[in-house]
Amino acid sequence: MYMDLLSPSERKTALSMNGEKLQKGAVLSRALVRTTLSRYTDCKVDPRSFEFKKNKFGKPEILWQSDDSRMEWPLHFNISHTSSLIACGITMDTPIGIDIEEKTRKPAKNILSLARRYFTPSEVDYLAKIPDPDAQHKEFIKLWTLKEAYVKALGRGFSGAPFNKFSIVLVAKNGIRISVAPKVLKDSDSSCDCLSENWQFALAELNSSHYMAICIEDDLRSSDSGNGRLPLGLKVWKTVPFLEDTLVSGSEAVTLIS
Amino acid sequence: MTSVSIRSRTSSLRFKICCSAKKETVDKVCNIVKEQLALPDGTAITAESKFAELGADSLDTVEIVMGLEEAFGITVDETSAQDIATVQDAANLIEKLVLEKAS
Repeated sequence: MYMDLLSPSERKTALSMNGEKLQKGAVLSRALVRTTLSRYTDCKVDPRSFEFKKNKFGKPEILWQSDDSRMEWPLHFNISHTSSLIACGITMDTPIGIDIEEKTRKPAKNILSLARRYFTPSEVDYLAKIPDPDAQHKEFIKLWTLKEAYVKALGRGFSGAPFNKFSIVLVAKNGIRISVAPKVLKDSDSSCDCLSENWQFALAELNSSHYMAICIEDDLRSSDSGNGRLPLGLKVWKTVPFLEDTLVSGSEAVTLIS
Repeated sequence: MTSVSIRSRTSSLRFKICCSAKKETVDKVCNIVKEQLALPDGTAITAESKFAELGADSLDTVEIVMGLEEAFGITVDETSAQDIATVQDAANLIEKLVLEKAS
């Protein structure tokens, strides 16, 4: 049933995944994106009709055909997978990046080695100061998802926003800030010219099993609006395309950390 | 009667050929990838295997890169890492970096 929603190239890609589980995951992921986007067009666009392209850095985007009879919706989306969960984030008018990770995901490499290799010095210091290995591990995963979400929102690929060129700072009591390393004068690497700090973040725990980080471009108008229950006007649904759709934000399935 | 003579001449290469990595490098990469992704026994990984198709996510990828850096004594920058799609790509890059380091 889900296979019918996919384009021929999506089917081909899904079937080229190694093993049934990965194949099913790939099909489900495309089905989720298509059905969700469709709903955000008030179902005026059939899930099957969406076409996609990649920006020059490989970030998937909707391709709207220039056709007078169809409206374009300023929809942005981003997807993230773990072996047990797929997340699809949708926004209107603003780029979005989303990343999810299993809380218990144990990197094979030592946390601080990974951090030293890929994170900024201040992030390494932050992690190194955490005495309990479990707590340190959790903070690593949180930082990882937040940094991933930013890179994905920016849409310039991993090399366009190297992890060691920006720091995510978790400020006590609901603050997540990003701070970009000041450009070193001798550094002629222009790929980091476009690292910006005007991004908002949300970090949540899903079902006590996953961390989810979301990053969207900072809309100066909305940051003045009153304190909603959720930042960014975020709503979370538990969805099985065509079968189930439950609003879970505001329940204990979604615990905001940010 | 005309005679035809054929001479073979070694041509001078005006372009650099990027050689495919040695089999042992490819094998080493396969082992590191298999371990990182905890692939079930019997999963076929070959030089042509694509990381995306093996289910490697971004955290797997950086760990694989770190594993390769440690195993081969090299440093891989983000731009080069981003271009790696297959095991063969990784092996080729490794040998290039090893050569550059030695020179």
